[in-house]
Amino acid sequence: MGGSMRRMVSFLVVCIVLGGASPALSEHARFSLPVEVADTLPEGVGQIGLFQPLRYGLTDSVELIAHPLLSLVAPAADFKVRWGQWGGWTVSSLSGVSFPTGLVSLLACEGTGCIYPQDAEIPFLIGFKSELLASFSMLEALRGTFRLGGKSAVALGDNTLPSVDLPLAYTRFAHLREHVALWAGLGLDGRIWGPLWFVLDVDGWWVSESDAQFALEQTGTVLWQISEGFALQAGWMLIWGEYPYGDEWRVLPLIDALWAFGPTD
Amino acid sequence: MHLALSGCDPFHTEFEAVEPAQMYAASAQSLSEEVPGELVVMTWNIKFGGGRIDFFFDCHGDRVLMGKSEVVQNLEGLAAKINQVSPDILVLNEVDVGSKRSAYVDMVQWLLDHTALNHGAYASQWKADFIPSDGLGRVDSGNAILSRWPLTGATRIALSLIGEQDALTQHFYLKRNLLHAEVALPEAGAVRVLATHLSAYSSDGTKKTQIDEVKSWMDTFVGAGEHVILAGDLNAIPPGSWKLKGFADEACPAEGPFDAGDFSAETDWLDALYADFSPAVTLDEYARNNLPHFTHTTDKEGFWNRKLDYLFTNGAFVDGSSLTHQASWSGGMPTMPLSDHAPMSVRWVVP
Repeated sequence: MGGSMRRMVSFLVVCIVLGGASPALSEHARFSLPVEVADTLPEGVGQIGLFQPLRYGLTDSVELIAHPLLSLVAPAADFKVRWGQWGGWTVSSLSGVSFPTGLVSLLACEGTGCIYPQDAEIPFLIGFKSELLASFSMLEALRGTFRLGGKSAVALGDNTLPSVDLPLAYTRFAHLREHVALWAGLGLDGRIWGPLWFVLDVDGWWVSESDAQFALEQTGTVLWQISEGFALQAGWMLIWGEYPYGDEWRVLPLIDALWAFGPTD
Repeated sequence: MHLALSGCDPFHTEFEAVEPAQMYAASAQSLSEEVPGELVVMTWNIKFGGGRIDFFFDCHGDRVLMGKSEVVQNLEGLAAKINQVSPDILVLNEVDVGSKRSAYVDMVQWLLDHTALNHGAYASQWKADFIPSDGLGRVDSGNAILSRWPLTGATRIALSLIGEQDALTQHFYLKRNLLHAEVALPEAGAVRVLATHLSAYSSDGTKKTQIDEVKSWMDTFVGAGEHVILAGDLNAIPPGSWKLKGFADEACPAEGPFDAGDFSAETDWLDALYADFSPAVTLDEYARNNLPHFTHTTDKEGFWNRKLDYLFTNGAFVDGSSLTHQASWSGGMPTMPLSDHAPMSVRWVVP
């Protein structure tokens, strides 16, 4: 693959790692807010961003999540299933499987855009992801969500992939090295006023590495629904983590654009 | 589009024009003997502790990253040689202090803790939170000055960047520097040591510009009445070199018309340094026989085939005291397995 194509793929991977972290639907707006919640998209309603995954309501209680572009080299799909609502609580589970070998092999090379070394031994990888979500309504336009999840992978063959030592990427790619990554999170989302919505979110990560295990991510975002089909997001992500090179704090500004389609309420 | 940005220098690759160097001290200080009449000064490009592993960039292999045990094993070899020479002042090039390729070992601290040297100053010439190329990841590599006696005023001076590079490449590429520090010699004044490692891969004259910048700084310190020692890898060959191009160890294909191993257009680039400063290896010595003074080869199965490393002073080196430690018969210990550069040492007369 040529250098320019590889650089584009690397750029997409970076944006998807950051952008696909957790958007989900607020029951109070057509758009998904940047926090994974227990609610699912209604049947026939979908959302896609340039780098965020496609989300589509297969039924009122089953949502498909997939990256159309990345699936060309790393087929993957998540299914969120809403199990029910009890006393103001909504409970869902999210399960996914991925086959990232093609993408990893593409990124293990010599030259610009290669985030893995060319001499890394890359096995056939099957990734697994599971998450339990419980959302509860506190006020008319305010919702909280608890999340508990994990991911890992099975390798068929020798695996000498190194870690990707960057905040966000380190925790999200650890499973490719057959480590377990676990997370627990708490999110708060709701309406500020009119077309403005907010998210405050905190996630704690644990990775089964021997010397760099914990990370904390705190996100704050405002979504501005400009029209029925378009919204803008802006906010920040505060990250603290342990990495092979030491502890690090980092603050990242976040921006995003979202498009929605399908039947309206 | 969902982007995460972190300021205008998101990967922390930039440097100020002039900034303080990073200071180090040995965990256990060795006794500082009184200053002798002659100091042993040593310079060595240690190839980031990579020994003779065939890394991808030399085109002899495809290795990128080392494990910690490999790095420590290589550092042990380097320390053995350094302890054998027992320098009072040591200048290092390509020393990593926080690079993924060398398992994040801080080599300045490691060498201070495993030699008789007590104080260190470090100036990065390649630093990035993440190099999005070749799987390198995080890198922090540069020049260092190690000394038995305290260092003061250690400063990193930015040298010219390679102008022909595009902005993206330049953002993530090496940024050469001149590191200088004053070695406080107890009851014997002081000497300013300058450490540098110049560009190897510029076809637009950047290397010559950097040579001139280094010389200019040396002139400034000399003009202020200071005793000066310059040491390091200049990536240039001396006047009077028998061979100017076509070195047998060049395995990488030339990129267009530029050949980093062709020095034929650079034969006079070091003239001003030789004219105004005393070299550890005089031009007469070098002209009589180039071979014992060669300090570099990328081919571990071959032999050193060009001189890229230097020591200069405005004072005096002890005549005949310079040595390029090429092998056990010239230095008492094999050095070919330790780096793609051979170390040099010389005795400097304390004024």
